[in-house]
Amino acid sequence: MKNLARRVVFSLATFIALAIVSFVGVDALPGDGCTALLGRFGTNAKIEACRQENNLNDSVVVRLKDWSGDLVSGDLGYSIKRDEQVSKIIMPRLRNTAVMAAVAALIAFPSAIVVGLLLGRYPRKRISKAVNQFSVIAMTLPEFVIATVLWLVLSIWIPIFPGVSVMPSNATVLQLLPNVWLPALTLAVVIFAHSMRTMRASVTNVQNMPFVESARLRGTNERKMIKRHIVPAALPPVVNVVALDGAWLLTGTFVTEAAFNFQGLGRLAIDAISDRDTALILPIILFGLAVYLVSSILADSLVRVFDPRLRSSNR
Amino acid sequence: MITTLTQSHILGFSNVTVRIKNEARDSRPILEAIDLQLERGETLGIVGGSGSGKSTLLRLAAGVLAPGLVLDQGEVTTVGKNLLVATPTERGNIYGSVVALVAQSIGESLTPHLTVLSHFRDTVSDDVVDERVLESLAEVGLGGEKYLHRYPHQLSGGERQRVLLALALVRSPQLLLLDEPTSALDVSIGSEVLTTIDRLQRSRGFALVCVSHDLGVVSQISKRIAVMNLGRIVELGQTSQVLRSPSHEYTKSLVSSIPKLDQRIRESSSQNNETVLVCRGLGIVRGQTTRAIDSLDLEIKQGEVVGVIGESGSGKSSLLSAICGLVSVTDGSLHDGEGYDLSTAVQMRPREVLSSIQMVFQNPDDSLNPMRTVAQSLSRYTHATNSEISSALLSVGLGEQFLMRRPREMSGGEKQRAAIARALLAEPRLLLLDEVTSALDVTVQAAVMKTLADLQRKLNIAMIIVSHDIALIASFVDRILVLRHGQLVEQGSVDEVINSPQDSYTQNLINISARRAAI
Repeated sequence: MKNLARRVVFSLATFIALAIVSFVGVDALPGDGCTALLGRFGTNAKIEACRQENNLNDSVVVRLKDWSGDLVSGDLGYSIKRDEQVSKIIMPRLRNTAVMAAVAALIAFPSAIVVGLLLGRYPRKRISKAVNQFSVIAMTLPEFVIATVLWLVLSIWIPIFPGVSVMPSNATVLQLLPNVWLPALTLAVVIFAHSMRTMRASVTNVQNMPFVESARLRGTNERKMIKRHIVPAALPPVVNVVALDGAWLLTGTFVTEAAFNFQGLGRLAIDAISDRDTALILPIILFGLAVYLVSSILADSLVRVFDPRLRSSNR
Repeated sequence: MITTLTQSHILGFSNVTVRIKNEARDSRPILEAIDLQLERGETLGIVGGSGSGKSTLLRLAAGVLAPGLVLDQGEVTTVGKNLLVATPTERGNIYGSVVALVAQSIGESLTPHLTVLSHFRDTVSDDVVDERVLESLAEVGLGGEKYLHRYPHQLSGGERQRVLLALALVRSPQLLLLDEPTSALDVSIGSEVLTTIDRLQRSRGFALVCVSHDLGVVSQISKRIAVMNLGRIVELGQTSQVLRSPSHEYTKSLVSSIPKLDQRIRESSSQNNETVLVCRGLGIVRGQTTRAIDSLDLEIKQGEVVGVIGESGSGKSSLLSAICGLVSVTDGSLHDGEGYDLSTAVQMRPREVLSSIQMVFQNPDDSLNPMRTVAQSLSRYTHATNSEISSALLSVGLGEQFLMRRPREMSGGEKQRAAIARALLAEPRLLLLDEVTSALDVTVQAAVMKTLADLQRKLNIAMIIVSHDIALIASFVDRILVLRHGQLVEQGSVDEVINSPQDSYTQNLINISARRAAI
């Protein structure tokens, strides 16, 4: 418990430090909200007037103070370029990405754990080796290649899913669903390969451990053996991979969203970067940061559930 | 030879040969022409060095053959069945209820995320579990409910071994197979575990096969003994007869290699008044609060050999680590003969001090770099020339051919000799030996100790040797220190300590050792 509290405090400190670094870093880039808004046609006078209006001429420290004060009170900022509250722009996209991530996670993680367990039980069988090799390909292929293959198969040859999503970013979840499948499947392929391989390796490793043989020699039947001895011992490394992949699903989907024109956070990030819309880039960076920090705390807490040695303080 | 098995046989090996898969037929098999029968309720001890095939034989009795090994010929019959060809389900039905095996690695044989009670729930159904579990735990000396909800890491080594025994016996098997039941335990705890096994065997009447490298262990719990060497049973007979009049050469060397309390392998050398180590009121705290060593006074003269004995956690290894600067000194003073303050960490010590104190560690596999040849390992910090290395190797009994070998091409004894040679190359005034022979077979141990005795006489260096084996210490040193929970509970010359021990713990160690020597 004390450990967990320490972790949370440390993560918060990390978050604050990186938030400041991000603000200063983005600020140091050439261009700001006004040059983004006025583009090439902005005369120096117009840009200066716009900066005056939006307090962009204040020093970095003053703006950082204002920005962080707003952030604490729940105000993510204002995009001059898009003339809208940042939260209004981000929230629907975040929801879209979250739905896509949830679908991908539900497809990939349970099946990866089951398949990894089955293959890990028989590491020497040809099928086990073959699937393992094949998953390396899935892991190393760029997402746009997987996306293209899936699109070709599931949208052109067998037209099940729409190839490009043509929904507005604030569509209802029901409208969203048909468009979610192809990007979610693309992501699922990558994270399935990743977590399945970890599970397979972990199961293979665990079942060669003396305690498994010891349990077998006591007459423990195979069902109990898997349920009670092998799986709980094999899961901790997988939990860590799932946490990392889960965080990636929420924050690393730029390519996939771009490939399917899916109106999610990744797509928005690309737009924001190409527009130099600094007010919009910062909250997206901070969100990614928070997701990784939270997921690693969650993973560590979950691993403690499986391993009593990490829980107890004595010895 | 053809053996007929009768109903009373519970285990039978007839002409069994086991080889490494795909290896040439003229290479030495892992097991060769093993013939062995065990009656119901009979006890058999199998003793042999590492690589003798004793563990392979024991596991074969449970129908387990390591991947990479094949049964070349012969047949193994366990309770009337050939377990090697049985289906997994058939074997599952036999394990635990008819045959039980307790493997060697007690540290890893319990599932780390399950409590003691959960281990029993694997094989004992829920409705009867509590009474039967409590009963079996009480039988192995773990009475009361407090053990039920403990996890393996909350048990001591002896407790783990007892839990494993209780798990093996809870469904009353007819045949119990034990692999090195005490090798991971302290002498006194191991002896208690053996007493428990012996008592259970007498009251329950199961047949027992116990494998060990230690003749003393198997003789304590078995009526018959089989001696194995290089995959063969070289001698088989009643325990008392094998021990009293061994017929095979290997058995003879095995019996004579056991250190005896009253047998010296090294004569005291001339000591002068030059001290090499002085410590006053030494205290070492490890972790948050654990006192590894508490107010210890010790003075060692040049050429003196001091033995330190104690169970695990007594602080004997901490003492050595402090002297060579690997753990920090908390209280008191620690100086070498020149007056240099040894509470300095190893990184901060000047070269002369570093080379004047050398340590040889317990496991040569951990202390020799597997990637380097012996010549490379030995010249690394000593900057010795090849001829210096050769002569150092020669002094520990290794020929020139070892210069270019890597650790994996050497036996355990050869590796430890190389590690000793490395320590000697630094020309130390004080040599620290931490359980240097505990990973070695007893015959190899005797040879290594002999080498150390010769070297000590020739070079007249001071030594501190740490061991859990009081007979080994008594045969080698001038002075004995007994440590317990970081306190010096006894010290004196070998004769004083062995003949009139003052402390009950020393007394107990001597009794166990004497019993073993009297076998």
